[in-house]
Amino acid sequence: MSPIGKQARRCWEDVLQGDTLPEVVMPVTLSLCVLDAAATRDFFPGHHDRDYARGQNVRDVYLNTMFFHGLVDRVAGDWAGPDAWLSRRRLDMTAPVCVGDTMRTKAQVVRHYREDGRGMVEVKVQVLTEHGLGAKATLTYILPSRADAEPGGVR
Amino acid sequence: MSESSQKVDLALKLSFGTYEQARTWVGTKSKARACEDDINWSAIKDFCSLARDANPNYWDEDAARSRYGTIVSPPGMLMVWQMRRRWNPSGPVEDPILATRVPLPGDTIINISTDSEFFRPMKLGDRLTVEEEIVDVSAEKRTRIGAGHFITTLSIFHNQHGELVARNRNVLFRFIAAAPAEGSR
Repeated sequence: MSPIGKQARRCWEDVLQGDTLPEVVMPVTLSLCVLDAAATRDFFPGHHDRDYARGQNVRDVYLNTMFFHGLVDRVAGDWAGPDAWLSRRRLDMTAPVCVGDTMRTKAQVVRHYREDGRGMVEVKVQVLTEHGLGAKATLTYILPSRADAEPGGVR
Repeated sequence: MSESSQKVDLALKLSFGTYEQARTWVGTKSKARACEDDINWSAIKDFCSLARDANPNYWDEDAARSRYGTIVSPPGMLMVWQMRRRWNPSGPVEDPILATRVPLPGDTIINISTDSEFFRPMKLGDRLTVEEEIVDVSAEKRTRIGAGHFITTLSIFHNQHGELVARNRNVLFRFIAAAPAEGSR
């Protein structure tokens, strides 16, 4: 992988299938769940009420869908840079990620191709905890090319 | 209005019924609804600070202007803009999403997956409109947490210029929690 700083422009020509992305580690605290509920305006009780979560047969209060959108977009976006355009994201939440867990991300480029003349990449991001896989996502980006003017064209 | 009716009730108001009744909901569309808030920077910063996303298109006006003309919303906020407050001056909002109105036996929900496509940037000041459609209700399935049905909803987002902004397919599990196995906690 090319040594490129965070939030730097990343061009399609500089990417190879199999490139790995930096790991992000984040502990899940009750405070994080409160921030999550507030920032996503999601007050479904499973995300802040321990008794409700346990009544759902879940270990504890758990993070919501929009948190995972934000996390996987950040993991892939830190790498892809501000000139990348996220065209598609598929997210599967395989097990609840609860207070007390520590998340570690594992991410790599799984596809590097051209479509309609544009440079495309697919990045796979896994969110792992002590209990195994919590969520996985596949993100499709359009990356700028070296020949493009900086920064990426206004859409 | 009595004191008790003013209690903030966060529990979802689910509709109950049989799987056969639920199947008749496949193809049901909601009316196009304007999202409550326009795309705003305060909400964007709250969201980005959650997962610590430093992308300058969300934080730095000059950097964002060079690409989009203005600060833009992270794509991860698509469903945030769709969220509804649970009360407004016309009264309590009891059906925040279409999927909760599908009649089924399950007394709780958990979200399972999303598939989102993004076509245009969401810029500061934009006001999105969303239309939802129930596209599938599965037969009963047993999972680790309980038995129930998977409801697939398609949400289509346009901006105030009538331009297609994004499409999101969401799968939600409507279920009855299984009794936890001994020692599983």
